[in-house]
Amino acid sequence: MPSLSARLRSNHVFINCPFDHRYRPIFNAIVFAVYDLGFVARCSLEEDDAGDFRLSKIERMIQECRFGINDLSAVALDPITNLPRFNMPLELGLFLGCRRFGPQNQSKKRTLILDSEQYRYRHFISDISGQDIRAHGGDAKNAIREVRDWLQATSRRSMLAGGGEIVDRYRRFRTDLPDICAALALEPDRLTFRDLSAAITDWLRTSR
Amino acid sequence: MTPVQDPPKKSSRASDIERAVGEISLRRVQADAILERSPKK
Repeated sequence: MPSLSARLRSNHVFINCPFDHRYRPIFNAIVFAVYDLGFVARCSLEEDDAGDFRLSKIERMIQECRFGINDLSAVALDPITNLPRFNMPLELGLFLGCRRFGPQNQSKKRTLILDSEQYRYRHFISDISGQDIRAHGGDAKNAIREVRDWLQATSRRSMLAGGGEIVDRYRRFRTDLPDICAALALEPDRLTFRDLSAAITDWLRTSR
Repeated sequence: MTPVQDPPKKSSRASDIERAVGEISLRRVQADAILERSPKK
């Protein structure tokens, strides 16, 4: 159980998204946008301590992050098991519960809910109506714009880059990424979260 | 522009990645400079 006095980091953003290959373009785009806007992207993939329970890692991370981006677009019936994947709604529930029942500093938490379509959530998790829910339509550019507009509005930071500017930088980063990976004998689509974060932050420092 | 923050957990290949990103960025800047200097038709 994480300590109740854990520090809430005002610029850390918990990313609760599917990690499979099909979703990778949107996940990478969200991580890029978060760093480009001057925030820090966190997700359960950053930990590699196999001895720690997965849920404990997620709880600790949620507790430390002021912002949460939750993508529910992968909540759909699996063609093999015929069951939906529910990790994303579970982690969204942990985030909302932490804000509601945690110590006072946790009430500063803010969360964005993304889905493929604007009102799809009403069919499977209607109780979240009233939260910030936006649709990206499965498009990485839309995901960047939604994340940018939401972070700008909720953090009230001024001088953040516009969505179009970040989309353009992300396109240039994606052009450079294969060459960066080739120099390191890595595959662009199989970068670890730590390697991806390092490549994004180094690239932003040298190229924007 | 907002400063870029460091990730909380460092990659074990952080220095290699930094070097590779620097080389690719330099290569791109040099290519852009050559394009700019080339005579326009």
